[in-house]
Amino acid sequence: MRFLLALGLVAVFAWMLLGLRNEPAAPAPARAFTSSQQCRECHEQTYVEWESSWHAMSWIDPEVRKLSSDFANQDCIDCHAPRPVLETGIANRVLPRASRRAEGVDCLTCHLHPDGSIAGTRDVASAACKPVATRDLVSPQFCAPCHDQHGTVKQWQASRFAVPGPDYRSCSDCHMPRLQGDRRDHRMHGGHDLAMLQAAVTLRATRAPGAVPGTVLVELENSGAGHNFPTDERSRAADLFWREQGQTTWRHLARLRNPYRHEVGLPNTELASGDTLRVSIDQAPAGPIEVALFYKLSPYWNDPAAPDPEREAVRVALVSVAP
Amino acid sequence: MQTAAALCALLACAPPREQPTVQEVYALADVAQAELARFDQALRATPTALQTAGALPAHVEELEGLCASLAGRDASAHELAQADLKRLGEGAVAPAAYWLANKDADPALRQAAAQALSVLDSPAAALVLVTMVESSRQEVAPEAWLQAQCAWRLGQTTQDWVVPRLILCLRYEQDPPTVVFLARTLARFGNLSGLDGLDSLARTQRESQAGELALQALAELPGELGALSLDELRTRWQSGAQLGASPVQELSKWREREVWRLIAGLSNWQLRDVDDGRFVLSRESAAVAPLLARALRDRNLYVRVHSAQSLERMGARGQAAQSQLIEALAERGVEPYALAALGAVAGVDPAARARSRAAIESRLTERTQVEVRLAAVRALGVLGDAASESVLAPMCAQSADAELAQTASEALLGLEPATAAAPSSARILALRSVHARLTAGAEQAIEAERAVGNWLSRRARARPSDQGPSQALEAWTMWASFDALEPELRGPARAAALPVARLEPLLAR
Repeated sequence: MRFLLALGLVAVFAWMLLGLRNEPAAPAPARAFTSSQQCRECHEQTYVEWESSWHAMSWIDPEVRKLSSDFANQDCIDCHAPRPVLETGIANRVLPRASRRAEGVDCLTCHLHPDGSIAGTRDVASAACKPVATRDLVSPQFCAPCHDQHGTVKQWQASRFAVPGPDYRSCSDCHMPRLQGDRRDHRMHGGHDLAMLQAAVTLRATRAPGAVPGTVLVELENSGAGHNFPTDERSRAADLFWREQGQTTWRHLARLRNPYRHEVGLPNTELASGDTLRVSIDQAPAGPIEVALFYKLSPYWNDPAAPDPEREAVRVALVSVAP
Repeated sequence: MQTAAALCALLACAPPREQPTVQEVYALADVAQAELARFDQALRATPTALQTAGALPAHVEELEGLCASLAGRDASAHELAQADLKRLGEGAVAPAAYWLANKDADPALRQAAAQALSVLDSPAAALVLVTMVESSRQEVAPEAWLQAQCAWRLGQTTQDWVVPRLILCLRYEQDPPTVVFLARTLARFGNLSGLDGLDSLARTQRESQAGELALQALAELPGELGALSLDELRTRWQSGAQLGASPVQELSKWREREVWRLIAGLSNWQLRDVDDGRFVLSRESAAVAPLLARALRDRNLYVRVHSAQSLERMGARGQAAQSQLIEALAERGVEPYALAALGAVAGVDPAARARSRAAIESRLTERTQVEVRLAAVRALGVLGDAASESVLAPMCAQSADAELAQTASEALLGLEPATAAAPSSARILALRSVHARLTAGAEQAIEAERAVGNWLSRRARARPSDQGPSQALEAWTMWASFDALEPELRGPARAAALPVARLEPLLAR
């Protein structure tokens, strides 16, 4: 009997020793998360916001499908259907996933930890998904794996918005502003949103006294974006046009765009944060004229010799210049 | 006895040990960087960028005379000039580069300078020529005719290390004649990645000089490379078979270093570099596959993943890496990419196909993640082995995961026809399921369209004498123009043009 008791004690001791050799087990996730659809069950409003976002459209957007030849160009998949950012690590490049590609940049892309737990802005043990506070979730480095491929985060780092102080704004401060109840807006507005475009730039046009007669000075200031205008996608372009008031035909003045690799010889004319582009309209008519800024989601005009910005682009700003 | 039993009980009660880490089951090492360093050390005399500005290099006048002789019509003067060039050796590279880049010089002299560099046939001389071809990507590009000339002259050297760099040139080159000469030079080194460009030029620019050059190249290449036809040549290239008349069959040390440089670059953060790397590696010859196989053990995750992707895109030319791809299935982070590659590299060799199929099907258990199972199902579709029907058919019908069921349907459509005269009901149901997604224009229509397109292409190739598949393929590709129709409308349009009743007979063997 004593022998059995001793053996039992040895067994318990050995079991404890073996147990101590292992790292403490990470808290098990409440359930396995495999699709953004699961998030909808509790986060209906946030899901609806995301569903209307361009992150949700990153696989099915017709423009993307055209530009990538329906993803026959497999290089596009990395960022258009990525594996979770936290899996490859913040600020590391993302890798393409094989499943749920139609969900694009989905909830799990940002919120799924490699151990299956959910990343949130704070710990909520009582919630069904038991989110774990992940401070980097709202850091600009979190957006870098995809959005810094064309330098957007670096542009932000060089802007006044990256300097701690009253002007400081992170990516999420502008693109995922706080809503009621401390929740962030998951529509993630950007270049598709006219209000965002209008908040990014200031357009001015004047006939300065003393200037050469017939010359109108036009200034476009990147006054509100914490990165270049336009930024990120090489398909994006912004164009300045002018016309005599009352006319319908616009005349091209300047283009802001970072060209594709194959467009050899074209300079990058994006406007850096805080910079101002100054161009002049020579021999402008004496009568009133209008100057406008248009934004395009695809770079080329149907008829490059006679572009029609009213049909093919979005008008961001318009200023009138008196005679 | 009692003690032994107690010890057994004790062991049985012990908590489970930690799962072995990746390193324990799958040893990793600094493969790419170490290989690159080794080659850099061995090939120390690497030519670096040549100075073409500033003080005139030595022998400039002598080179001018030699180039004039090369440009002339006197054959004996040619021979003397070539002998003199070889006597000057590396000392002739800098002055030749000077004349090549001198925009004020007579074009015939510059052309002869390119010839002189090919006669020198050294790494430094080839670097001058390849840099000139690459410089079309610079803001101040050289004249297009000179680029084409340099691309052609590289084909007269034995400097095979320029192959990866010329493949990358294909990606960006806009000048049609240069594309033709790039393709011919690559072919001379046993690389046929320029064939698509030649096809495209021959089809779209038939009336131009470049179109004629492309047609001529397409007509001459089979004979030059020991094949009876272009189809045979293409098949041999895609299968990784050696191209008979190609003078260079193995990688030189210089070329191996270029390849390791590309593989090491797969770890770059910038996707643009990685895209270029994948583009070149996947168009390299079969001799590169063993290097990519070794890179599957690199310590850097991105090197491992993108090496697997490059092998996948190589297709059967990557078959030499099959064993290492099977081993890579042990690593969770690489597993989906290794599966995709296993489906693609097997080619037509029955033994290789059986190995790939067994490895892929082993991942289709309920315990594996959906991500892995989807990759495995797609890989079976790419492999196309009829024997996979027994695995895929139940998944189409029973899987609780809708995406898995759809993907299984698409994969089933990709299989080669079974031996039975009539198609199985599983295949008919799979076709109907895929067709229904086309009709609905649903989000999954991208994959469904790809599946039907690939299936029709395969059937048309397999039954060239039968008009059914080729006519269906023609009707299908009529809708391929992205300018003609928005992509979300294209699927339903194709489905309407090719109803199930017209497609079902094509399932028969």
